[in-house]
Amino acid sequence: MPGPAYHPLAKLLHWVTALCVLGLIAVGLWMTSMQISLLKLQLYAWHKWIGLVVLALTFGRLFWRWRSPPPPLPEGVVDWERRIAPVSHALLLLLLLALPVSGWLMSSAGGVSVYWFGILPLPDLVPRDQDLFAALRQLHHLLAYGLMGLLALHLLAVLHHDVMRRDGIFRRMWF
Amino acid sequence: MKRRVVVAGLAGLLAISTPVGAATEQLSIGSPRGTIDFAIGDSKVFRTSGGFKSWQGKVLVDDLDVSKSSVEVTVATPSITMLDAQQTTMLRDTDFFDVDRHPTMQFRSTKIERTGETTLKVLGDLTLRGITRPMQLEVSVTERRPDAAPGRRYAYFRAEGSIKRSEFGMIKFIDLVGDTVDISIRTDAWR
Repeated sequence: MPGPAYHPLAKLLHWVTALCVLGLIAVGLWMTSMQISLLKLQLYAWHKWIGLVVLALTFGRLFWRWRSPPPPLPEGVVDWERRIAPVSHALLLLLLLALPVSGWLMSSAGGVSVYWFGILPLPDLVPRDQDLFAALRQLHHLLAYGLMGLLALHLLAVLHHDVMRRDGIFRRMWF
Repeated sequence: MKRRVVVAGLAGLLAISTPVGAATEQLSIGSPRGTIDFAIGDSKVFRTSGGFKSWQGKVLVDDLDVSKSSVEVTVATPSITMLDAQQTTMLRDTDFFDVDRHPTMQFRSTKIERTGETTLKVLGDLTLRGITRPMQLEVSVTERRPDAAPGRRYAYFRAEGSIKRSEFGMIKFIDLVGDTVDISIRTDAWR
């Protein structure tokens, strides 16, 4: 008998975000190590466009969390895990907001305006500025590594619960 | 007493000779008191922007007959700076400004006309990578202080114009990054 699960919409938003974020990390690491080329410029554009999709998805998820709170954790989850899980989820959501926003800021400070999917020209959040650009780039990288670390923990926790404990944590988020 | 008369006489002579000087004024413009920025304006994928850090110009202002005014600007192409180091390197390279072979670009006005109380239209020739093409700038002049001491701000110029980079043989990534380059100049002018 499966325990309570997330709402189907929450699952959909989670997995679309997951796909986007994995793509963003892969493209982000790749494009920043590339020499300048047509492909590199295209990757930068797509990285920004998808990053802003994640921003929109995350706002959607926060709204949905408020409308439809997550199901309770299964019985077997111990106390310290119960305390730490909401913190790590909150941090993940915070990073999913902070990364696209820092990327958008960085793009503005770098003098490269974002034209979302070639359809919607987005405003520059700050004026072009060398020092601000350098600082925001560092911040974006720092947040990205933070997200990668936290995602690793997130995945390890899922593996631990599903493989070692078989307590049904993963099934709450699976279809 | 005699000496005072001589001084007064000299001052009088100077006063007579100045009307011509008052109508025309030779001004300097340029970095670091001025900036030249540009942005690729017609791309829907990758819009980028940058500036030139080193440039100098001379403006001859003829208040009585503005069409006799003129402006000449020389920009040091190696001073091109994007906020991304790779882009800066690429723009200095042969596909773009080719700074080793063409270390400067020049703008020379060919016609200046008044378009409003404080605005002008400046037509001129831009020479870049050895190619000369016409270019038009819309200029506004503010904060005029004709009594400013030499070296102090005499006026503040803002100029806007655009070029097609393809006309100067700079076609790399043109489909992605766009062809139209919007140029924006802000500078003090001083005697």
